[in-house]
Amino acid sequence: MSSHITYNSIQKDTLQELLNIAMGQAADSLARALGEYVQITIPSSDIIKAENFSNAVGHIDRQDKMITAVRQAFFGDLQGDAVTVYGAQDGQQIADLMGYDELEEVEEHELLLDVTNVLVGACMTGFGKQIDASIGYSPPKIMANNISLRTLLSREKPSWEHSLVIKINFGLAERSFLCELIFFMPESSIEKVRNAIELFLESL
Amino acid sequence: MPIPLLVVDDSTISRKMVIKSIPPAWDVDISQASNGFEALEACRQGKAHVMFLDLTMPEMDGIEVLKKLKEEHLNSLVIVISADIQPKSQELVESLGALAFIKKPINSKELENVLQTQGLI
Repeated sequence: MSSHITYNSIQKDTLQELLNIAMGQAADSLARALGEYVQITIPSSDIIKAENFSNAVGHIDRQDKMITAVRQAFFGDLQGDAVTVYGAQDGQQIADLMGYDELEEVEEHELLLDVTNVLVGACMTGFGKQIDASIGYSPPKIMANNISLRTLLSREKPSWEHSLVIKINFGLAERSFLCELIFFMPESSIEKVRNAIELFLESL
Repeated sequence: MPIPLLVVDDSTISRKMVIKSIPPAWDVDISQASNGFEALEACRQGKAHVMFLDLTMPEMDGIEVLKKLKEEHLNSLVIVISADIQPKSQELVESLGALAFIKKPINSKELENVLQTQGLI
């Protein structure tokens, strides 16, 4: 495997557009589930070498704040892990929106698992559909609770040399809720995405 | 006389996808803009009798463009083509004067239907 795995600028621009569309579909699914407008920003994507992993992924604003992280693996034509990072109060925020009060932590976590399922499913399916990739999902699981993102990233690193890392933020306009969805894909998927992008470009 | 059509999107790829979906028989003179400022300038120069407008753009987004068009009394028939497909976004752009909302990824059949509904082809 080459040590210089990158996408060229046209491939990056195309990936960006495919991700915008996938993100829009995921935001729409979440908006419909919660009955709230979901704020989205432009997604970011990078190919990151394992040794730079913590720095590259860790420049997220909230790296020292307490978070809850949910992991959901996906497989099929593309494979990897989706890690969704929630702020300490996000479970409570979702509970409020759903009309629950005084939930136990375990019940709040159930809600976060549901939200994760909606976001990851809509996003990856929306992405895969555009490049003719079919994708399956394992059930989401709480990966870490009440630790900082910095700590989480220092102990959880992909075993792959290169990872395609995609980051997408979802926020709620009237609330402090802000979650970050991070996809990690290994070299085999980096190549599959590249081939799919090339096919897509040929059709333009 | 071809109709001046302006395609506004920050992504080159996305503009290509939109332009590829335009019905071949529609007689248009296509210009492109990659942000809201360029879009308004092209509009002032008469290059946007019809405008295909993206919403999520750096510098000036599509919502801002719709507001400025009103403020400056610039006449353009705007069709929003966006990946932000939430019902609230659709309501907002229609309240700001957009004629129609098309969800990305665009497909040529849907675009043709919208253009027919709006009496543009």
